[in-house]
Amino acid sequence: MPTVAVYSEADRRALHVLFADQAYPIGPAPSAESYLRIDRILEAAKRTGAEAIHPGYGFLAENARFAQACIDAGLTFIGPSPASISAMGSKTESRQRMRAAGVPIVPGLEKAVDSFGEIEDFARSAGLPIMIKASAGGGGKGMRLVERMEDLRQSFERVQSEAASFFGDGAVYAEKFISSPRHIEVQVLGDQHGNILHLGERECTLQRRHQKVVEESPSPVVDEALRARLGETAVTAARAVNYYSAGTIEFLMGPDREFYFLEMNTRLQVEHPVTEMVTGIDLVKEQLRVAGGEKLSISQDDVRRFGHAIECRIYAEDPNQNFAPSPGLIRYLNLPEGPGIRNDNGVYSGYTVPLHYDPMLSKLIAFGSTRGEAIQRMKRALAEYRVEGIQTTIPFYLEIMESSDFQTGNFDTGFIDRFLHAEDRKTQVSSEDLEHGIAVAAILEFEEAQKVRIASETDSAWKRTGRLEGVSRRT
Amino acid sequence: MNFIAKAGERLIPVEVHRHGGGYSVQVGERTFVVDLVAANQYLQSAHFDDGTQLLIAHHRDGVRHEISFGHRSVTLELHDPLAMRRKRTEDTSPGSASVTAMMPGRVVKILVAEGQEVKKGDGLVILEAMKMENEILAPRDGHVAGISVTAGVTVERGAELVTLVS
Repeated sequence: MPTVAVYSEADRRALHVLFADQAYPIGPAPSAESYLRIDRILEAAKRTGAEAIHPGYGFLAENARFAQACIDAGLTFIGPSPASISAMGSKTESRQRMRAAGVPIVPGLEKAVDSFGEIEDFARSAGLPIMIKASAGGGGKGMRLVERMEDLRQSFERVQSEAASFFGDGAVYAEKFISSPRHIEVQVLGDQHGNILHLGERECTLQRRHQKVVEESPSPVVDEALRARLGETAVTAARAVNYYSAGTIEFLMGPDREFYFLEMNTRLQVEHPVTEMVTGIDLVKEQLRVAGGEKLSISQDDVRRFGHAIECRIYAEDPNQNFAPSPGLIRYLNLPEGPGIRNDNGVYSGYTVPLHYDPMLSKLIAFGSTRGEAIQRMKRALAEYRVEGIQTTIPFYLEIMESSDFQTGNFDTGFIDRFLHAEDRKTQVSSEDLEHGIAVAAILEFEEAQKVRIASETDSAWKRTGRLEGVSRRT
Repeated sequence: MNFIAKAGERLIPVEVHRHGGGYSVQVGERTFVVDLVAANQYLQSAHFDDGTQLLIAHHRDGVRHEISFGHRSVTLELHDPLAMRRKRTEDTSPGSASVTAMMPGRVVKILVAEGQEVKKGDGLVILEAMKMENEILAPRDGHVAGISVTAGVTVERGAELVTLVS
């Protein structure tokens, strides 16, 4: 199938552009002037004769107006119906729909609000901690946890500002925060003929700043009975909004294994590869089939799960500088290979990571017949992974893979923060490394000095010859 | 050839000689015999006489060297011993410090005004990069002597944002 990529000025050299059959510029770097411009994307489709649009998993992927605009322009939107997106896209409407369908939900505001007073009232009545979220948000952007009343106003204002600049809508929403929870989500898949099935759960508990960093499937704490219950609830939730295409129902699960509907992502997710690895089902291929009006190629009984898969999101962030963004030139890249290793990669040697967008560079997925084997393979692959020129989260994932709590599956959403603040975490440079580094730098400096000397001698010889030739030609 | 290596506050004398096909390097008290070859434009393979093999990426920015071993890295400076001695006598210690951007980004908002007194930990500037807003905090008490940026501009890593005077 031939592809057309759209890109902003900052992404002229992005991998998705280089690999496309056709590419179409849609504006300057700020996403509000390019990737969020529905008119320009539709114009690109019209100009290039595209028939269908896959929205990916960022920007307009969960925008009902965009899905509707595609349909109105006679294009196929590869995703669910605009009605499903808008029902699930509003945190408040989705909760009402879920409550009506009998899906368990976490206590929260009935509707999105604009004023600080309403947030304050909710915080007082529900009690802290609460989570403030951009109503139109998702993907971990535009949300803050508030644990102390004196932080409430500042957090509210920051979420409102992020909501306005990233999602074009300053409305915010708040809900009660469940302590020590796990974040478990269920992949669902539906067609336009009323068939909906689930592909089991993903464990997405390991998050930093509410951004997922490591995901796996199956969850180390979900047994067959719980999996069946999660799956049934997810299918009920999806059916309540007449869902089709690939989607994900996110649940918060307390230590008592009670789970609550959090939200639905009405799109393909970043972590979909772990489900693909353990089910053998190509989710994007199913999305294409469904968008074309075909029935799903499988039924619930055909879904067989085997083995264990783990994904690490490789971010351009410096784990030794409190995860400060680290955009810039990738001087060298070596992706790991070997049995059970998959790279969903978006960068290359010589590529400059722009500062305008999300810091995710690539995803590394390890598959094994058991969780232990998947961890071993992930460790081996991470050790072999080289990204030079910018800082990445790879060393941090190596530490996580080594942690005994991760290995035994004993963690909650607070794991990463506690892990980062642990006293015995060693991030000091060893004197061995320092001495080796000094030795190598000194040799390279020495070689440089030799080169300069040779060059200057050669240079004068060339100049002499040049001058002589210049003189002879002029005569 | 002699250098002074500076790592953090430590100063370490270094001496490099050719040794067979490779090099002998004295770093402080230790002597390394090293075979160093370029694997490509950016990577060096360093083989030490105790058998240690390291695949190293080296980046130089003036006197500053970044040496990456893959998942660990060190940053150090190499100075000409004579130039360093000259410089140290010229050094004075000013009472002002500039607060710089620890990452490239776009200035969203400036939270202080010139002349304002700030306490350590107070927010100075909000910088946005890669879809996150980050607050740049005052590293110490002082008053704002200068603001080098305006809201909306994009800055490089290390760019001066605010000057604090104690």
